[in-house]
Amino acid sequence: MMNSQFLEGVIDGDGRGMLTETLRRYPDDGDALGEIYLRILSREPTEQELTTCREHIASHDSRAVAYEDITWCLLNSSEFLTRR
Amino acid sequence: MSTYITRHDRLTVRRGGVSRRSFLRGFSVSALAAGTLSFPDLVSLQAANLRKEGRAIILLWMNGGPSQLETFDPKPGHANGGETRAIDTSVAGIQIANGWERTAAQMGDIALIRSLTNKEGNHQRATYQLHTGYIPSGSVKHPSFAANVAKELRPEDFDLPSVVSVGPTQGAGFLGVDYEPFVVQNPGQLPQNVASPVGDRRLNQRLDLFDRLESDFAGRGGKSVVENQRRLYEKAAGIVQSERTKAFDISDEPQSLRDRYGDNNFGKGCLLARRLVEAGVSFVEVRMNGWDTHDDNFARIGNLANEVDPAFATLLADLKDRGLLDTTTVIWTGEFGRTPKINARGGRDHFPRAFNAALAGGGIRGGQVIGSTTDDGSAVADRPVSVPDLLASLCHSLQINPQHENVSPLGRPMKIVEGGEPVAELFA
Repeated sequence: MMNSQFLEGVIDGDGRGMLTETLRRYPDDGDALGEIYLRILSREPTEQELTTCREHIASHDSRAVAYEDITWCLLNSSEFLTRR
Repeated sequence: MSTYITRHDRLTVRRGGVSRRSFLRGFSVSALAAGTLSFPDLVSLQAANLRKEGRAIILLWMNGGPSQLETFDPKPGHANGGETRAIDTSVAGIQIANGWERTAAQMGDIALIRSLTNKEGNHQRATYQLHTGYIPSGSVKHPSFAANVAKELRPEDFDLPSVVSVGPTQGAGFLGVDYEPFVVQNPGQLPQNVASPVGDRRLNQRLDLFDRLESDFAGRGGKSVVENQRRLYEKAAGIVQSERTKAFDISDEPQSLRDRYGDNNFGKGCLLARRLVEAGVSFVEVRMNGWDTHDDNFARIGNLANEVDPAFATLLADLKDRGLLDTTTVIWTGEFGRTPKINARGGRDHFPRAFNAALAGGGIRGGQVIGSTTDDGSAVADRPVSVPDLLASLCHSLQINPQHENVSPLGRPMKIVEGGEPVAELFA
């Protein structure tokens, strides 16, 4: 999961995948993050998580790249691993 | 005076030697911490750590239970011996089975134990016992012997896994993810997915974000899950970013040496084992499957020996050439032996009462045989060696205290090896 080329293809934020589509449909970060959290962890992000993610997005020039990192983190997270 | 005083300020030692800076640092820190120790005390403490730190062990695991009669305890004079012949070795008076000609030439470095004896005749249970030192029990996940060894020997800040196995093996039990084996399926190539597709800088950014998001989850009650996951990812990131990871790739070894090891899984595994030990890995296991010879015993073992004999012999010679054999213990064995009486299908069945092992390196005196079996092979005749005795001997060879206790999650202290005495003759 950490280094997989396959995963890198799936979370591409600048192509034709789920992430690109989500970013196009939700220009607002709150909405986009909500959608991604719902899709991956089946829940809304907490305030704390929204803040952390927003800081990360702000530190990147490219919105797509920032979201790829966020998606990578969620897919590699303990919560994703243990949630049914 | 505690001999463990330098445990966490100890030297950074690689197999290439001690770096001068870390020697000075280690020395002054420990002198500070132990202001009352005299200079000779300190020198001897450091010397003990130095001796211990270069140590490693390679387990050549003959999965399925290798026949002692077709390996290192042939019985050519008895009907039970079957068609197997005995051949001379480089040591006068020691004979082993035909098919092991290359190993025979290395006998000067090898000690054979022909009198191993045990009660477990079931593959899973015996494999568990030989790999942990304990009989399986419902209530405790015993750490593997490998995990215990790695915990004692692993250099600080070591960025490769300290236990590597070619083929699946026993886990670290309650010792946790730091000592879980790294399993290699295709020896000789870099493991899959060790290169990050996004580069180091971005990987580090991701790991930062990952840490922050994970700590939220930890705060909501997933603490131990997160802790394990975090350590796993740290280790994985270490492997991805380590220079030493190239030890996994044997393609820069000379073709002539690769040919000597053998162009097959086991041969490549043994060459990989040497490279990993050189890089500082504490425990390497290389598995050879196919020893469960209930039928067609003789032809099948002939094929197995064709792979194992050259690889085993070359491994010993190669370690010796590089000056690594003194600090690297090599053991060849399996979970039990096989019945002396040949069955109707030309096979041999499970037989834990008498089986054998071949040991070399790590201070073990080669060119000797310990114990013996009766003429028909049905029992140990002399000097029985139990599984705890064997593991205690390996501890002795690695300069680890077999009585060292780790505490299980239920608060129960468990020794590395319960009972057993090192086989003194191995080191005499």
